[in-house]
Amino acid sequence: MLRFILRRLGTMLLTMLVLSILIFVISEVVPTDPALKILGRESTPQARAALSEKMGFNRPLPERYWNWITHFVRGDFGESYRLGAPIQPLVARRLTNSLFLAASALLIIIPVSLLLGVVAGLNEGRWPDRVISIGSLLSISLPDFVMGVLLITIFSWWLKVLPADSSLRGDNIDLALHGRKLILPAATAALVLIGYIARVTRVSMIEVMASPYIRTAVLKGLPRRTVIVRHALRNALIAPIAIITTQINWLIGGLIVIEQLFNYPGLGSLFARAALENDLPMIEASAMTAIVLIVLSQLIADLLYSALNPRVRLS
Amino acid sequence: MKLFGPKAIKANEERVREAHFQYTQNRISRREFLRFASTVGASAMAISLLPPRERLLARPARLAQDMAPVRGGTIYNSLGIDTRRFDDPARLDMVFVSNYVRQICDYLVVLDPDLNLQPSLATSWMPSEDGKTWTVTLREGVKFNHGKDFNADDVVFTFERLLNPDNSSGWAGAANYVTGVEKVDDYTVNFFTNRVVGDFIYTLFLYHAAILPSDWPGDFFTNPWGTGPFTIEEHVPDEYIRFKRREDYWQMGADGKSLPYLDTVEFVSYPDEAARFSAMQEGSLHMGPASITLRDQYLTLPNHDFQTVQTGNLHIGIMKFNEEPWTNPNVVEALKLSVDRKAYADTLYLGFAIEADDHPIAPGMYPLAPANQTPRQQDYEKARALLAEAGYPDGLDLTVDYIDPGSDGGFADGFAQFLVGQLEPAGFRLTLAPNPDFWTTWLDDWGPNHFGVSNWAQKNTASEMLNLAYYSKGVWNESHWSNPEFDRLLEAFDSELDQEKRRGQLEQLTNLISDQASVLIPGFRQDAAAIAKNVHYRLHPQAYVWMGDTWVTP
Repeated sequence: MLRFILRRLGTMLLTMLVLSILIFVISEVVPTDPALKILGRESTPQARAALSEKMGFNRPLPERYWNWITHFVRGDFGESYRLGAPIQPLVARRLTNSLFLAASALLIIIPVSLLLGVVAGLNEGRWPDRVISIGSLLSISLPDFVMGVLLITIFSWWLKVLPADSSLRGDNIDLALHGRKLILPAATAALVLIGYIARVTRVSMIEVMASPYIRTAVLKGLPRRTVIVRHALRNALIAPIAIITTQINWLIGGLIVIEQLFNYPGLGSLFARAALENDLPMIEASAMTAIVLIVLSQLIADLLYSALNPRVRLS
Repeated sequence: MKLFGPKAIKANEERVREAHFQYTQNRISRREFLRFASTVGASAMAISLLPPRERLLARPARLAQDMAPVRGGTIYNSLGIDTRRFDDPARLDMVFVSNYVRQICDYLVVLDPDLNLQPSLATSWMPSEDGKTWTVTLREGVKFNHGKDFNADDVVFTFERLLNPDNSSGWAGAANYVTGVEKVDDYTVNFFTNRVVGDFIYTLFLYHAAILPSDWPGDFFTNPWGTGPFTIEEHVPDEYIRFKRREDYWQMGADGKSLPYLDTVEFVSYPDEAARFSAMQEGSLHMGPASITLRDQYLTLPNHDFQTVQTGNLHIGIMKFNEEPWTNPNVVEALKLSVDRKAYADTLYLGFAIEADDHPIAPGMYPLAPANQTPRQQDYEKARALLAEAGYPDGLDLTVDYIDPGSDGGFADGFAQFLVGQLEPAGFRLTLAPNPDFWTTWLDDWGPNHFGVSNWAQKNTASEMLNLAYYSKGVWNESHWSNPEFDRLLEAFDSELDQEKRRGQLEQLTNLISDQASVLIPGFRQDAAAIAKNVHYRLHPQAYVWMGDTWVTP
């Protein structure tokens, strides 16, 4: 088990190393003058040249890479060109906010989608299945911005029960102060995923219910309730849980549109702006953060999977 | 150095009397007469020359005088730009970012929303007899927010920093005729110029010229020292900046007590307009910029007004002067003739724009600006004929270079898209090439066909605009247009103090640009903002935001 985790983390470090080199090479291809970004458009070419010299922008690529990576491992991610501010505290703050948002979304996604999928699966072909299937289809086909606007219109403008403006005032996110602000963005992200996960759960449930061991359990005379809860569920949930864990990464770092719509200060919008404005140090930091997130969420997926399915040995 | 020699005072009085004579002859307007008098530091004398009834009208109009202002409260304002950090006000390159500085620091003079020059940290100013030395008297009894008294040392410190090439300030480029600054006594400084510049005093309000204390150690967000109405309480880059009122600001409100009226102002980042709109809808945002094209939606907001203000801001089509195909004036003229200026105002701004005739000096927005002439009429037939004459009977393929929509919110993109349809019937086939590194290549490289579009904000004076972008040696001459006659005329315009002559010169200058320069300028747009009905605030045509005299009714 420990060896498995260590191996995973080793792969992560290797991926980070390769990717960081790749980004550095790509940055060579995209013509960006960091001195111009820092000094502004009104600066003189002489001043830009002087700054490039001082900051080492025109040193050879390997030297710049070494310089960057040695700072990075010490937790110094550099300064954002766009915001003129140190990156590390910004990413830490946004990451905290994003974790809260992702957790809120998961709190909705997991119970709702699994319950709907199981109910639909158990009632295959009957009206609960039809209603749930049409609902999931709607949820899958509506893009996140449409879903978000829909929720804002209903809950903020008509019913006036939830805030549509999720921008935070004051320090980091504080659940007592900002809890209500999480609801609509979390619900939007949740609704986008619920349909998909419910459908997977439904199919998985139908398959399991048709399998020989369930028939045996039924013929053995076990109550239907016990058959479903003790025998069917555990196997039927393997597929949807695996899918949910692949979405964690998106929920933390990829909610660009949702964050913009609600003005929620998460990681996605921070990184998207960096990409749009060629903010190289921030792009590097975002790629590194993304890898850590992917590897960690996969690690969680594997651990959960092995817990649900004893046939899988992690060593 | 003697302060004001009797000869200098007499020369200045003569200038004002001459301008007053021109005003009585109806050759310049009252507003222009007062504007001129204020540029040479003789507003009081000018007002005394007016008949009593007009003296009342000449007083600066202040919204706050209509109603007694209320003290206290917090305002959330979105500036249409993310809240970013910067080290040094001297290196600002964007008016939006300068709006943070404006809350913390003062300038020597300010242009009010009516575009009248008003004293601020400077109380009076006067040119020497030869016009090359400007003596500026400073306000006494002003304190910086870190406790230091304001005096001439701070002004010398600030402007020496701006002039020092090591600091790479845009100010040194815009005011390239200023050679130095010198302390005369604790509350008097002299500015020296190498030629006569009638509009000199306006350069003291360029956004780099925020007055910093002489003991300022650098790094503005760590040491936000200034004489202004607010101090920074908290700043989270990309999210918000919160300003808190100062208790001992020097400027008095209408109630006789220190400004500002507000306790707290928070500038909040709302990069997305839909998010801004829904924040206004639910009342968590008092004010922010609004797209004119979304006017109907904003009018549905129950607690906000949709305020517009005419500006001299413009979109510009750049044809690089010294490159094919623009070396042929017929091609340039054909392109100008292909654009329907009314369609520009109507499609992009729902009519909230005035039509322009391919020069940048918007009527009413600059002193002495010529009244709006009838612009070129769209004439495809003539355009096609000119193109054929220039050797392009089958038309021309053009790549349009401009900043990518992600970096400027689609501002240049909207104009580029508009041009596609407008130019096509004349034979110009456009391919859009949005460029994320526009600001790196901008001044020299306009893509394979040397064609692109950019965007200019209004400047303080016509002279500033013309010197930056149309003078052959202008530091931001993006079209590379060069015309010796224009250069000579502009130098003469800058050094002339006679208002009637200057008006004629400015008209000649704008005519030269309109007829010959390789630029397309179809209109001047209005700016719009949604502002909560209980907030007392007036939009400034130059996008300056100063919350010092804003107040909010509970």
